[in-house]
Amino acid sequence: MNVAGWVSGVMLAAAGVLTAVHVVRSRNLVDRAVGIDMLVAVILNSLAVAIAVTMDDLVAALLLIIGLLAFLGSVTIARYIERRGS
Amino acid sequence: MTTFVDVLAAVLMVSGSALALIAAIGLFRMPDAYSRIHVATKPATLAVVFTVGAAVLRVPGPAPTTKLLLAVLLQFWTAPVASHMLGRAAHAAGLRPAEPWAVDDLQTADEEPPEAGA
Repeated sequence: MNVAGWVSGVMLAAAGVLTAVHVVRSRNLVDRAVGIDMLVAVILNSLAVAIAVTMDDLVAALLLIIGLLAFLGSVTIARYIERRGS
Repeated sequence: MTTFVDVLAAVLMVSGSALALIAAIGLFRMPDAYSRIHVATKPATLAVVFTVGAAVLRVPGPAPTTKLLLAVLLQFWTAPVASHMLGRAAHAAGLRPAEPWAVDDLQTADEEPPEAGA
């Protein structure tokens, strides 16, 4: 389980770094919002892996809260882009 | 029995993380905003399902299981809505797909047909 935890952690860290680079380098607002969505998904994955490795559900509520906040965030960004353009 | 569940949880955990990594690579490989929305939604949701499934297998008791399954349910409810809104926003922002549209239902009548690949 420890080995699996390390492997997952390294892969998730690489995914997070790649996504952050994409967010910085993207040229329009939609791509940036997509990248932030992806970053939140990576964070949710990391929390779930942490729960699985430690067998402690202390951060289980964070999965719900962060998921809901990310949804509200990307819907708000999308609404504003749709109203204003670009 | 316990070892079997642990091995299953480890496999789910690693495959979920691999999916997240593949989705992050896909953000660079995909040619336009619409396919990037696709790649940030579907593999990422499946990755969350896999890793949360591993957590459900590892943590005993009904209360953590309920919370974790609720998180997965929430992901299934919100991810399609959010990506749909982002797709509409990309259309409103004037982004064009890499290949020409076959059908463009959001196009208004007075707007002239968009050029492909712009």
